[in-house]
Amino acid sequence: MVFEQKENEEIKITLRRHWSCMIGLSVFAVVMSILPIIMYFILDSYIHLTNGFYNLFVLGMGLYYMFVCTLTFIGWLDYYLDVAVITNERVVDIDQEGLFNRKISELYLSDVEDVTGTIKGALGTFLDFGDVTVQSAGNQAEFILDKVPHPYKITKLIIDLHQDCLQGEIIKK
Amino acid sequence: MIIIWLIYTFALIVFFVIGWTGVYHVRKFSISGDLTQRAITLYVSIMIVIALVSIFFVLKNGASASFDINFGQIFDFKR
Repeated sequence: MVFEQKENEEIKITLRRHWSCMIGLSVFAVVMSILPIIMYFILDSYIHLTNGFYNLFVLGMGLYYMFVCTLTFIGWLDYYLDVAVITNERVVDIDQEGLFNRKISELYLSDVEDVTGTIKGALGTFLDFGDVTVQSAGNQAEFILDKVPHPYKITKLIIDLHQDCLQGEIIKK
Repeated sequence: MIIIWLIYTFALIVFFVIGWTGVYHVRKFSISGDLTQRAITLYVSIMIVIALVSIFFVLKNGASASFDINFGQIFDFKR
């Protein structure tokens, strides 16, 4: 389970970084996968491959592809398990760093003071992704959701939820 | 030479132990219905296939004489 959902707490939206953040990893995986095949043909054209060399090459490539596969998989997990969850009560930001490091921070909507949506650069403008910064009244000065899709809509959603939360508190009083 | 097989086996064990420990460790963070479980299965399958295919090719090529090599034999230039 990602986080403990409270009673009467409703998940409004679950956010991951924009898919364009995966372009670099995809290019890395493709280039690293093709490289040894090109290398093999180049070597084969200049050097007569003996049985011993061929076997070393095959085992080396086996280990190499496992390494590339593991790096790609860790990169994908890093992307996929980085999640921000916005509920009607709070914002939860889960940061997965590699396989063994994980950070979970949460911010109650009633503590929100300011929300800013930022879109930077041509790619961000065309694909509509950017950062959402939430400032709180508590110790945690800033809460940043990196490269999320539709940052302005998310900003508006958090502000609306914050106002709903405050109105709910006023009615209770 | 047996030492190369030992190095290869050791590397395989390191990969599988560290990789799988990490992968199964993150499994509990998946949200129900998401892609993490399927991605883990795919990753583990690919790792096994790579290991088996490379061992198969080496055995097919003659593992007994395969590592009886020296650098003169490795770099047998065509010209």
